[in-house]
Amino acid sequence: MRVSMSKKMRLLNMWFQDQKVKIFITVGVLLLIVLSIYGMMSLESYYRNITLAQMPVSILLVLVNSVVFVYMYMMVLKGGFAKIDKKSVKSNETNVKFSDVVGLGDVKEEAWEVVELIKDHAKLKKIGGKIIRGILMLGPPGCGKTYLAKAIATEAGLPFISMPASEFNEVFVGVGASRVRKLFSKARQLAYGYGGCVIFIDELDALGSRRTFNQFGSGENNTTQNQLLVEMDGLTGAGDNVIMIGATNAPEDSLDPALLRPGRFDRKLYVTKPGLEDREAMFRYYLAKVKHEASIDVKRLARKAVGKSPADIENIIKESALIATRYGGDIVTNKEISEAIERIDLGTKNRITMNPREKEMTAYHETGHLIATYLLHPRNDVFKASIIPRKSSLGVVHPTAIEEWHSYDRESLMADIKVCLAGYAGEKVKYGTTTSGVSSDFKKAMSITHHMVWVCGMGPSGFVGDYTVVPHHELSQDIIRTLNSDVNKILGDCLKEVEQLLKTEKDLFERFAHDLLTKQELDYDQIEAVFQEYGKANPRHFGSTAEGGNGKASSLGTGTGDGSFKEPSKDK
Amino acid sequence: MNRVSGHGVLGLLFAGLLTASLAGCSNNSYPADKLKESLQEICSKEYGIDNIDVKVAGSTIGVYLPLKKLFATDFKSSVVAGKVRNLETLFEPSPEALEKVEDVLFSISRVLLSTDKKLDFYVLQATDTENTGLQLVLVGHVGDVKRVRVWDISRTEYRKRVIHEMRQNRAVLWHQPIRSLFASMETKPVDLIMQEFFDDSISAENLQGIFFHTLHEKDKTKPVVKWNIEEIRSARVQRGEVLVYTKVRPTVNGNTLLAANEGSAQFLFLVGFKGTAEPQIKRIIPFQYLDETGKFQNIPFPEDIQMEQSLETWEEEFPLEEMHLGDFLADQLTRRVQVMISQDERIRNTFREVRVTVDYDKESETPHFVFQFDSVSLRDFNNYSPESLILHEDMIYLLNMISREFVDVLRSYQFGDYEYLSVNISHEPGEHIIPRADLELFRQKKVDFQGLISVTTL
Repeated sequence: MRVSMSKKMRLLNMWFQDQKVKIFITVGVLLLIVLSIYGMMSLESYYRNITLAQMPVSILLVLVNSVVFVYMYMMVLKGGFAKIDKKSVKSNETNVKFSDVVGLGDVKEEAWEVVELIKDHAKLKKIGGKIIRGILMLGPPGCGKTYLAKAIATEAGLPFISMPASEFNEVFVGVGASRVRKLFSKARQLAYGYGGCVIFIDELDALGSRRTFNQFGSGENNTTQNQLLVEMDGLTGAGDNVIMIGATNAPEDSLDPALLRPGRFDRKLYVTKPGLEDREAMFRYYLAKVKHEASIDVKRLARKAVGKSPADIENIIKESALIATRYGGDIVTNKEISEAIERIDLGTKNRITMNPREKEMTAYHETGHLIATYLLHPRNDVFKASIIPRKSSLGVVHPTAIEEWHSYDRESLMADIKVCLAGYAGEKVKYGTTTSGVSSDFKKAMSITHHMVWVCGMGPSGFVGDYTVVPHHELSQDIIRTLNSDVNKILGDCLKEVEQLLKTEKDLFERFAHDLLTKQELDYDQIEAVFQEYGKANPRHFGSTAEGGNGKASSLGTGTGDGSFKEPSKDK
Repeated sequence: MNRVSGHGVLGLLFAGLLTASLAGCSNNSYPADKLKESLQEICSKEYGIDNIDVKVAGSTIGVYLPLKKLFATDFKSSVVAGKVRNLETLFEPSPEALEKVEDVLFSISRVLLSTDKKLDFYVLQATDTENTGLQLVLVGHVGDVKRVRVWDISRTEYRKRVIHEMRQNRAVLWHQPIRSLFASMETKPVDLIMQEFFDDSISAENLQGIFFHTLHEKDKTKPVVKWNIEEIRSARVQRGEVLVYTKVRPTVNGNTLLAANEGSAQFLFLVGFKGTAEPQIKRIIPFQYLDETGKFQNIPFPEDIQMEQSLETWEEEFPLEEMHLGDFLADQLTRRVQVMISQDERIRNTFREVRVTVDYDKESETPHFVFQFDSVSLRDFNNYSPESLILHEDMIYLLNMISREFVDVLRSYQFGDYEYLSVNISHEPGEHIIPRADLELFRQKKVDFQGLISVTTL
């Protein structure tokens, strides 16, 4: 009872502090009204009537003046630079529980610990520990960082203020720092009333990137960031229960070290893309929200969705529901889900009409990619091949990783290069000439090769080290020449290999090109069938992926098209 | 929360405005039945002017302001000493008197504007009661007071519209000895009173009896009797003699002294005025006496004298007649025209003498205005004949100027209670009648005055 009274008093005090300007204005207005009435009563009737007669005009003039003033104020000053949107949300309004956050097992455990500490920091204080000031969530976009932050706020039962970092800064200097101060002031107010408050700043890299110090003085970003650093762990607010949660897609080392030190963002949670099990759980979770066919195999979907984030998975299910609606269906089937994945990954089809020659060349170009991927790539399988224009491409071969890999070996990188160059090789082998359609392939191939040689030390000359960190003018010409020569050699070797492959597999080459020209698109099963017809087994390496192993190659297996694996046939 | 508090503040404001507006829907500050008391209270409390009198005659309110010294210059001593060089400075009011006049005028305007009594005119008589009996009379229109307050007319125009007059109030001079007598009876012994106010024919013994043995001699233990004059009028009997009727109420410590006659006593005084000597009371005719038994007895007047009816015609210090707009405009126009004539250079150069008055005749069958030229004399008198004076170009100029002022003023007051304007020039045959419709055309400058005159000669 005593505690609740104290809390009520605090809430009342907080409300008064928040509303005191309005209260004073109201009291002032009432007093003026009373004095006006008294004044009117003491006037002689003539002057009273004159005053009353002039009152409508006076009111009109005051209204006009007010409108003009407010208009000018809003136009010129936009209601004050430091005004921030009232994004304070109470915890019962966020309404995201931990049970709603699918996957992210380890991260959730850490987050739960934070929640426990927030709820009962008295226990921690007894030991002499300090409460966590900040939690930084790092990871690629769409992995659930904001969602997890909301869940933390809901479970902790605290008010939740959300603000993207980009909203702090304006054209005018000082606005960002002012907004930071206002934000923390508001948070402290809420912390006083409710016992704590959570501030969530999304896209923290917009505000927290490394500060620059030069002779031109600190920029606006520095000023804002400095204010943030001070508010998080400065002289003020030492006793407040204000917890800051930041989220960013940027790499950790791009953020300012002062922000990352203990005492500010004490805890770092790495929210990565989900693994196979988490993907399965997510497909199950999102499918449960739509009417779907019972035969949908979430395991197969999870295997198809390698490298996809929770946002991507949600998008797939949403898109499939839209597709089902468009076709007049009332449930989501495998067909809609496949089409949704295709739309998301490959893009929507363009209604460009290609002339036969261009179409044919595109078909051979894509066939080159297809054959190279299937026969040469140790990690990727071909999900779809198409010569229907999409996005800015006239055709596409969509490779899909069959399991998660978190690093790239030399062979897979070389295979990527070969796949990129295979389109060029296909055109060259067939027509003796090439098209401009190879530009994006070359760009990718060049990028991979350059990375291999200059960064990863995979060049044939044996130079080891990351030569990109050294300023270019400090490198010797010999080294530059050698490294560039390595790049050219790798590209040349890969191209030669691919050309040789296409010449060797000429029948297959022609067959796929013909099929693409007649069918426009070939999906996984059709591709697999053709390869089988020509006696080409799926050469993919299947590791202990189902057990969550390290992904290293253990044995070759044959893809069956449904995502399961079996030992390769010993007949071939 | 913000929306609620914003609405709350607006609601409060609206309620406050409504309440303030309702506060304005109260009665007038000065009700009609308490007009006199209100004005006296304002003058007394706010300006320390205690002795004003207020009367209402129809739609005219009159205020009588007695002043001991209205003029800055002492007439008698200046005239006797031969120090008068400028008549205007002789009649210049003193600063104190002017201040009181302005204070009373302002008080009148406040009451006029905030009363429910329908009033059209106000008259202020500021009277020099001690020396000359002259009074400064100001007559104004209530509508002009309102219009000048809202800047509908300028202050210059407003001053032109207020009629200023200097009048002689003989009654004040005639009543002054009687007033002084009754004032002195409160403070002075009988022998001094005898010496100062009465001629030798009246004895002190008579006096005591007449005034009910209330006059103290040198015995200061007797309570002082205060003689309040309720009414005083006078009539001239013959040259140098004036009869003054007085009705007084003697009181002792606020209580009425006399049991009968509702506490009042009446007297007739015969006062003699001889040149510059102090006036003296030659005879007193009381209307009542105390008999041997001490009983109060009335003295009836012979019926043929018809005292009461006669008193109605006697002069009083503060006469007030109801003003009518036509008369007011006629007076105003007379003064305006006189000022215009005096300031116009052409008229000064071409006329030897011009005297014109504007009258309003409401008694005749058709009310009308009259331009009465009592004296018109052109310098170049060889070039006109009496019959053609009105057609003389300078006369036309004068009449045009006067008529323009006439139509503009009447238009400003929206006065339409007249049928025509009559132009009479003394020693000229006939009168010139200008119908109202023609005057309207003249006002609209659709016809000039010469064109009007040429068709209006009777």
